[in-house]
Amino acid sequence: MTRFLVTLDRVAGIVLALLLVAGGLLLLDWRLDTVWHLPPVAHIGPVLDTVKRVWWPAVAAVAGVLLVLVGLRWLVGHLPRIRNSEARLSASSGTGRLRLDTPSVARAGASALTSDLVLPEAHGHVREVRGRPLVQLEARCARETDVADVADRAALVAGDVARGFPSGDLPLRVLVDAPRTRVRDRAKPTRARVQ
Amino acid sequence: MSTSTTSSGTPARPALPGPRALPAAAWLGPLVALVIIAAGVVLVQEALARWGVVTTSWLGSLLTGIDGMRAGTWVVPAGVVLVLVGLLVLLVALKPRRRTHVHVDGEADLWITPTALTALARDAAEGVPGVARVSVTGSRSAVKVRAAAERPEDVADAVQEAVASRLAGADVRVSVRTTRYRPEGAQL
Repeated sequence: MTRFLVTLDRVAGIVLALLLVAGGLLLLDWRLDTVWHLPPVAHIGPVLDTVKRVWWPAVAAVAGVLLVLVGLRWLVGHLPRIRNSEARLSASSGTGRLRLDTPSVARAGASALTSDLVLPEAHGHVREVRGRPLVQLEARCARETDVADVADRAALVAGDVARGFPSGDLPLRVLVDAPRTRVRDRAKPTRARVQ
Repeated sequence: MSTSTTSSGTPARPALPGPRALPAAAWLGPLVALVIIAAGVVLVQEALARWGVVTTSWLGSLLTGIDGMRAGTWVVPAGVVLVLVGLLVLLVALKPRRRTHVHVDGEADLWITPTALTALARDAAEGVPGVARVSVTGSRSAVKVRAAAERPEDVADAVQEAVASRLAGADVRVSVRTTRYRPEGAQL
């Protein structure tokens, strides 16, 4: 999700919340008659007159179609994006354009990161963060490894990518998760080791 | 019983924002979008009804139902529910995105989950001779290890060193507590 969409969702949520609270307070005051002294019987004559005007159907049709289109566009914005898998390198110039197939870099990075003793599982994909492509490698660490070993392994791959793209066109991020839970670990409590 | 705490310090943050979970407000957008689409459909149906394409108008029926309505007893519970739901939606809309990983100091932009740190700390503590039982809890700021041994005073330093060296580089506080191990069924 883009930052704009996240902001839009938050603003929409705040507006929806305020409308709900206002509607609830209005209903309560209608019954309790403490603040606004609303009439006990609802009269919406002016509204009924408006929807009988000649121009009303045309306005309703246009507004309805616009609302449906806006709603659909908003929904589509939440679907996973089909990204352009290529990134333009800053070394491009008037004489030629350099485009990089970023998924292949992600695959190669994941392959280089994988190590039986440190990070036995890894896969890579390309994300877009603040309008820039980011190669994100996601791995699971081995149970017996050290954080320092993981950092060394990640630094190795990051160094390779930095040497390949010294202009910094393709930042790399490594996310490490826990080792897979073995069935026998769940079934058996920690074994006692007594000196 | 002994307790000790170490910290690996605060590393420099990378330029890109750290990994975070989807915001809780992420489902509010689609919800509002569906409401907008429903309103649009009602308006289009209203236009078709006024033009005589369809026989009944949904909006007209709704407005006719509202006109002349009295504030019955149902209004109070409905109002209370609306206010409570509104406040809940407001909390969700303002809730910040949760950080999911802990930063690891080094040359790479490396992040690790608290679950992974917990697993590594557990393995390190279990590997110390004399430790009988280990429980570990972890969060984005701290990993707490509790190790039980028959002679806790003998293993406290070794557990502390094993866990601290295993997690060195991760931006978390490590605290180790050792207690006396009492096997099940043993007389106190």
